Amino acid sequence: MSIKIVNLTHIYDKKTPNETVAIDHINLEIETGEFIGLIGHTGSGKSTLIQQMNGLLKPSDGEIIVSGYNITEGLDLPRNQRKRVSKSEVNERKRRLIEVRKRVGLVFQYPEYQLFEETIEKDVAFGPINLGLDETEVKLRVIDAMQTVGMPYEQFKDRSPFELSGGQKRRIAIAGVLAMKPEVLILDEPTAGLDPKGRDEILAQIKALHEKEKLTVIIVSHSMEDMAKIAERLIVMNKGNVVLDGTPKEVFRHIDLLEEIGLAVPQISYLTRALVSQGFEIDPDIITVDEAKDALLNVLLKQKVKND
Amino acid sequence: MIRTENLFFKYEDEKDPEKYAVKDINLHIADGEFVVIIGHNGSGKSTLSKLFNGIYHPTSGKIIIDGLDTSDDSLIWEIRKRAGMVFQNPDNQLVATIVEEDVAFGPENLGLSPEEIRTRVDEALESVKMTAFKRKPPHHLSGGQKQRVAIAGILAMRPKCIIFDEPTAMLDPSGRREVIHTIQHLNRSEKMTVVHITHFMDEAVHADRIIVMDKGAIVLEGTPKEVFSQVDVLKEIGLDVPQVTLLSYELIKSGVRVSPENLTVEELVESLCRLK
Repeated sequence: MSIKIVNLTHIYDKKTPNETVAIDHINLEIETGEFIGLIGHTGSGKSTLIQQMNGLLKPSDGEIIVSGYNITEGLDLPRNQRKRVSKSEVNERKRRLIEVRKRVGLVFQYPEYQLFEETIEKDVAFGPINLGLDETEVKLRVIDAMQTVGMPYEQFKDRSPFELSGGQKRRIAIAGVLAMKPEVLILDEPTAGLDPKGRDEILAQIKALHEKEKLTVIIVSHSMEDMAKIAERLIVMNKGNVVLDGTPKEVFRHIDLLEEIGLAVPQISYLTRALVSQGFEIDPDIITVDEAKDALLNVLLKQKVKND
Repeated sequence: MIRTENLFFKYEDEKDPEKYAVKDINLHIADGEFVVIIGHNGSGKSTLSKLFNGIYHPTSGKIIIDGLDTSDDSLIWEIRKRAGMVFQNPDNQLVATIVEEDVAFGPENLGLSPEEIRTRVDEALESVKMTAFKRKPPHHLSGGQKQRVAIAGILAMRPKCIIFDEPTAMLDPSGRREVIHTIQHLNRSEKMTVVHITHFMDEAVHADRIIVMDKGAIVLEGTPKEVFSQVDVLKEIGLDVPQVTLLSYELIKSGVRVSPENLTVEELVESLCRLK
């Protein structure tokens, strides 16, 4: 499922003294099966962007085309212009927008605050029931989604979601979105506030899901270390614009630009830069601990051979 | 400043009689010290901080804050005045509609004169560099700014010690930096005793001492270099170490002779240059 964004602009509180341009003429193409890290400091427009992608927010200008269907078309017209479109056409557009929401799953920040049912099973089933699926299918999906997030159905189904730890609650909230079987999964800071273990577990589960189901994944994150390890493509936003777009290696070359916009690079990128400037013959694009280890062992081994 | 003796704590609704949230903690935190407590969720670190502040009472054992025993209810307000606490969620801590009124909330409750309150509020806001925002409503501030206002609210009570319970967990990188700088400033320039609970390991690098908790007990204790060089133990209990320390550890395992105590990029570069 591809997402194409053309000339997208979003202005909050338009024509008021609080007018803010959150998204400023963005163009992006996201292909089926990509794993994207969306990065930017608070207020850079990333949350606005992801809410556009599943039709929660209507853009002020521009188009979003999901799987060839323009989700920004029509619905937002002022009432007097809307009449020109036939009623059946409006209904058709509404139906397709709902279809898009089904296929683009959005996990909000701190999704555990959105748990509300008395049992975990009911909470995860809420989405699929609203899709109008039959009981058997709902149950299958719930079992499957809970398994995926590492919370076995038999063990947890009758417990209250409010008895769980923070990390577990979050996984249940994610399972609720997965049970809708989206083709694109967008997660807004899925690891915020979790401890290192909870963070690694959630990221590993998302990665596995991406590989197994060929799901397109977009993760909003502040952690450059995590993104270096997991993402295939990074999109960096600042003041409503895309300022960098490329593989993590390509993006982390721009240390100065990233710092200027209030971000950082992984500690290993700083180390690599310092080592290169000290004359170490290593790849300047090293961004993870494993890569650095291999490169340094290689350099030191060559050194040893030469000295012997 | 803070002393605990054989401290045990069990939640009242805990069914397992053997399960203590905090187990046999003996600690002494000196005046002016900067102590970081790390541990994963459920390790007992937040429970411990709430014991320091008298929110919970020990099941057995003792906590003495600045000479005062927290199990004596008549001392509770005095203890909270001396050991203030800043929590994780900035939105849950601000009560007033204007920044300076929020900071004044604490001192007003101490029954101080208006002039004294004014002085304290101004000083506190200056100390966290939020003076320019004093007439702004808190909801117009960023997360990092809100946390600084929450810190100012505590400072206005003139405590000797501040306990920070994951104050940066919900902030973005620039907000985190702001709050960490503020905490370091309070410790270094104003000689405030700081107990900082976090699971961001990079925030622990500048502490005088790190205490690592797991299953309610202290498992490691020492300077950042001493603690982080125990990569095996930290990994075992699911904690991170700085990437540079992890790389040093991996290199040592492969037979490269670098120091296991490298915490910063500069230290590792120096270490490697010596081998070249």
